[in-house]
Amino acid sequence: MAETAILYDASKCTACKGCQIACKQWNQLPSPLTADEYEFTKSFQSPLNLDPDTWLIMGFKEVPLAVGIEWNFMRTACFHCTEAACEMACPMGAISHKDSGAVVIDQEKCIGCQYCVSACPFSVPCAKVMGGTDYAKSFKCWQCFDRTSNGKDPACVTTCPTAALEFGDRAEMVSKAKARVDVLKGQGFTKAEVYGVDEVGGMHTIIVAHRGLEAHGLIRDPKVPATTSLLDLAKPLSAVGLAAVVGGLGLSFVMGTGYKRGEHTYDEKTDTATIGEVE
Amino acid sequence: MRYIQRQSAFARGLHWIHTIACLSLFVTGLMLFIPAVAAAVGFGAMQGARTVHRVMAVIFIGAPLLGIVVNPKGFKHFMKNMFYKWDAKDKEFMGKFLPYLLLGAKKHMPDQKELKSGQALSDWLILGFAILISVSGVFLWLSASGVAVGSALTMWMLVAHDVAFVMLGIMMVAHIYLGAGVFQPYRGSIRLMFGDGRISESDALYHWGTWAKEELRKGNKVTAE
Amino acid sequence: MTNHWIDFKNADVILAIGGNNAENHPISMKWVTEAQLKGAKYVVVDPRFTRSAAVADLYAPLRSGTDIAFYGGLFNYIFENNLHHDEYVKNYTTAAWLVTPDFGFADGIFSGYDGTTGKYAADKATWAYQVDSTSEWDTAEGGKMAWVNKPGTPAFTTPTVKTPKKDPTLQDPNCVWQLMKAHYARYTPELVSSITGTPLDLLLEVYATYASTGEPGKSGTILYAMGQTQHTVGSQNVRSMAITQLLLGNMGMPGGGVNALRGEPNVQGSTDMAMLFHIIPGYMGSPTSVKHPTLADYLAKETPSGSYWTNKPKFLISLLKELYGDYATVENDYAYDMLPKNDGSNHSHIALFEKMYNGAIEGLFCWGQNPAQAGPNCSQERKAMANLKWMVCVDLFETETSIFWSEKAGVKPADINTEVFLLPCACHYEKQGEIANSGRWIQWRYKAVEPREDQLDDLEIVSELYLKLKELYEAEGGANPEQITKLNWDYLDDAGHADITKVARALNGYKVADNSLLKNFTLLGADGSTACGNWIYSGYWNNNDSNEPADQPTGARNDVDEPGAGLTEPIGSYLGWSFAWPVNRRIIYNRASADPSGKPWNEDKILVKWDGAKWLRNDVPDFGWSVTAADGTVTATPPNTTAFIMLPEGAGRLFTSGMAEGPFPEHYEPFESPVDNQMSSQQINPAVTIYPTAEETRGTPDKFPIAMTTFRLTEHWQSGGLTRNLPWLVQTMPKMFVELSPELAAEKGIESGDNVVIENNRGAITAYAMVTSRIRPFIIGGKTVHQIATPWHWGYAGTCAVGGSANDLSPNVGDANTMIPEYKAFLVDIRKQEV
Repeated sequence: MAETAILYDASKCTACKGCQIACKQWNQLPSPLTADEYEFTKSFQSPLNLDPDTWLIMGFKEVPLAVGIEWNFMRTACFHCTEAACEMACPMGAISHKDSGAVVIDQEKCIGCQYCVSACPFSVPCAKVMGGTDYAKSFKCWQCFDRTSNGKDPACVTTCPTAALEFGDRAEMVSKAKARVDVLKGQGFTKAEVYGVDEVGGMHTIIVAHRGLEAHGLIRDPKVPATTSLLDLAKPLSAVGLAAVVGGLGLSFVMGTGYKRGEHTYDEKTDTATIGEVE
Repeated sequence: MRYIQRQSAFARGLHWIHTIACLSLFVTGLMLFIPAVAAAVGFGAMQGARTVHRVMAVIFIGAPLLGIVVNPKGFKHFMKNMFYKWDAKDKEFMGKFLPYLLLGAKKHMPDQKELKSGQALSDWLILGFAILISVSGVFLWLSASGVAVGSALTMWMLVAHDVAFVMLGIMMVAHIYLGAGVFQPYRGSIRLMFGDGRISESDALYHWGTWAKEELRKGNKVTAE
Repeated sequence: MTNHWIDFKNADVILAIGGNNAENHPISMKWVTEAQLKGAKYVVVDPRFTRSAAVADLYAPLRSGTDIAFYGGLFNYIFENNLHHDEYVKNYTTAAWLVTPDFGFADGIFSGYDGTTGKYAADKATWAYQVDSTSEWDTAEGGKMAWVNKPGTPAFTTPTVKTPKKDPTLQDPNCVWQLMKAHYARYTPELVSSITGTPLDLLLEVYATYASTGEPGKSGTILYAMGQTQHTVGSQNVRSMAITQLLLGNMGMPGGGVNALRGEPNVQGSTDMAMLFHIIPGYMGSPTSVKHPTLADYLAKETPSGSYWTNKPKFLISLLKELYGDYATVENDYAYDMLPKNDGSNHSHIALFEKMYNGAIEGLFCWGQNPAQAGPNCSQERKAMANLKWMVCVDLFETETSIFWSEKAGVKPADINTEVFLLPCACHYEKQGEIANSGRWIQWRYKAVEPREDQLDDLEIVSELYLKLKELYEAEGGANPEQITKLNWDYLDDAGHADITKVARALNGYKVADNSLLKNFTLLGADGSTACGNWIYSGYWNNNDSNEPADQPTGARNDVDEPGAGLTEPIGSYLGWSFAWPVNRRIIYNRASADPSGKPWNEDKILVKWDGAKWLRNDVPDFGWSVTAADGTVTATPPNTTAFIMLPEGAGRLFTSGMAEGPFPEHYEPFESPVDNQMSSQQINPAVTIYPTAEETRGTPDKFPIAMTTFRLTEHWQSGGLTRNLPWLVQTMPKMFVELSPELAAEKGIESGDNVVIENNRGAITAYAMVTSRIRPFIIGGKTVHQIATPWHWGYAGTCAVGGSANDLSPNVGDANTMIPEYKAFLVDIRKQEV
């Protein structure tokens, strides 16, 4: 299976949140319905952050200009990085890449350690306390792998009224995005750029940010946290350390084979010690 | 033959408890550290393992702290033993230790106080890493319980936990090798923690000459068998 | 809409004004975006910087309620710069018509105004065309209007045809063109900018961009919604759009037209079906006891001398045949007497609640409506409801209306004696039927899921209600029982339940003799031979071979856009997808998309094209394009310039006598405005009706200096009865809030997230403050005017997402023609809520 990607073209997005709801609907993610469950966010963005039951949110960013204002939108969900920090941090091997490039959490394997939550530079995975013996589990967008593996587009893509979301062969999405950025630059969006082609090893969400990454709230040049790499380093290093110790002690044991020592005694009255020699 | 009472019942009890906690933490931690182990035991068991890890963590941290409260005198003694100024003999001991260990201990070592300089050094490391693993563990526990610890700090705590884990693992292997008397010259020392806490006059003089002579002179902890 | 959703893709410029299509009609953006990708400019004019504005190529702010000033300035700009589509204007509009010299205008008032009644003379004598000659209908055998004398046709006085005087040179000072130029010369860009608050450079940029569509072959479309209509000058706002489109030659064009984006399915259908007091199905005027006591009166007075509406008697008689079945005969005037007559007074929403407030109404059916939250000055409407003896609410959820008597509504239940019933009904996915969209497409929808057992679909509720009433009237008699008992109700299936396919047949129309479905309304007769529930729907259910909705035009689902015979490129008509009224026509007035010789203004945008012998068609032509002889042979009709067949003029009206407040739109301030009218000393629309309760609570800028407007969000729908009960949607927009500018916030010491109180004489509500630079203060007449805006989705009903109702503050005053309430511009004050 070839690598696939979602293409999100912010210049075509009207922030209708259809994708946010479609995600909830297809993945059957609940939103509690009780009085005063939700905070006023002072923004059209609600909720402000992803949560275990909200895998996609529409981001709103107001940028006041000298004259007028920009209101920039961003579909915020898992980017499906090739160098996925969450995958590296997961001690259980519960997070893996599909051939399509989708980064998927195997809920059966997830033990809720939440290292992925801490490792992700985009704060995408979110843990939910499950109760019972399952302490917690991590959740995030899985690019509707159940749909895509059956030849259907992800739910968010199917609902987009303006085709700001597309899904298809990654190389094709990348070239579409680049072509679109060229057009946008010609239309005066001088800061237009493509996001996700090379970032963190190449993402499987390709983004056209027509007003530039920062204006849309994207992290320029995101990195897998150094700590995640250190963690990855810990295993081989510990193996080396352990091998050295076991080796050394093994040598010690072998060398000590047949060790025998004469009695040591002490006469406290005379303060004389008799030393038993090693035979 | 004469024996010296080196470890009190209290110390041995505490050591017992800590041994169990340590080993459980080590095994359950290893499951998380090496996914293959987890895979081997099955993912369902992992949740049980995490419960054990948490319970044991409480004991691991709580038991010594309780020990301090219940037996402040013992703690003071422990600290005095750990932190003392090394004299020439102590330094000489440390200098000779590696060849001694590796080459079959053919030569005798200089007389030592109640805690050998090498022992003290290893205890420092163990204590330090134990504190590190405890503190980082608390942070990780908080983070996993939804307390906003912060991603970066959590990740650093995770690194610290891993480093301490590896170091403590290594120390533990060495500790068992020597303490349990797998190392031939140290035969019999297992009785100190897992027996009645006594050590023979001969072994005491061999390991902790200075201390042994003093105890034999005082005689209050000396019994004959 | 004159056009349809898909057609937006054909536009060169898309002007969204008084509407927020990206937020409230998200699917519209599919086609707007497609147009943008082809290079079209999307221009948004709105008091707020909306999500539409965010994706627009050009955005200009405009103070709510000043649209006519904006359009007046646009007309002036077009005249000054000669940007109109000259050939179009000369051939397809009434520019050359001469108006009586009695017509006049001074200081905001047109001729014929009666200051004591506050109305213009009913005959509009000074707004008439000069008559050149008169003639009578040719009703002789073989004549065009011979049907009038067909046996069975009721006798009525046929209208006299008045041929107006014209000046094709457009030089006569009394011609419409010259009158119009003179009228709008007053709307200079500087003055308009000072009224609307739109910065002058932006205003001119918008004008230049939109007026560029006056170039032959270019098309511009106007998308609007309640921001245009919900004003005391709402109808004239819409008139202004029509005039704009005529001047620029955009009417009838692909990518042109005046396009009302209907906010609620099925509001198009409900207007088509006349869920309004002033019309009966098919946009025929309601008969009144004052004007039309008899059928002959109705036919004589309501049948125009020209246009396709000359067939109105056929539509009415066919409607009566459907309503009263066999009981309707020529002898009893087709049961016209049974048809309820309006007493001539106003029965629109505001007027009804005024009557209710005064105790004149005992009972109310509130069907899928929530006036306690959505009505203008709705706290007063709640008081009015308390004067009812009974009220029946039919809805999906408990609404503000159904619990207007509760403590949640801030009243003591013990004080209210109204008996309230709430009937749970099936939602749209729980029933089958058709929905008419804004593009007039009547699309059949099958039932997706079964409703709960206690929920009935609306038709079943109506049917059961009718059958019970009929039973009671038959058993007990009473006043005018025949109006109920004689009603035709053959819509039941064998089990006695309402069968919607039978209603569909009735709407399409059929021959009374053999019950066979009519192909379309051209086959309707005024002689009682046909029955038709709604003439404009005729043709949507005309397959005699099947009763399956999918086999009917309304159920047609060909999603391939095919070009018409002889043409190479399709134009987005999708004629094989559902049915658009009338006669599956996708773009009304499509004759005007081609020049007088039948050559399309733009060969890339062909709707109809005369190839010298016949009309090539990408749409169903909206003009007499062929004649079918009795033997079935079709003869093509060569081009003429009658492009507007629904108007007696046959041409687009730049001038009209049909409006309550004048032939030309004139700017007046809203009922409550922060400033004085800069155009004239006439502050508000002189023809509006102001009821006492509105006058009593009228606010003035000294006490309430802040202009307020209301809006809708993508995340919620109307009064929120549905969406505030859907957790997914609640999460995306949980709280009632008010948008205000940082400047006003600073002035009032308000920070984002604060609870604020918004108040006027009608009420006070609380909301969360959303301080945003998307809202800007306006400079009006040199002074700073603040405007705030709130959504109106929240209310006190429900368990989650309850909040202040914006309409507790809106005034119960309406447009002079339609009485649509002025929800979009009124006065308030705002302050931080004391903790």
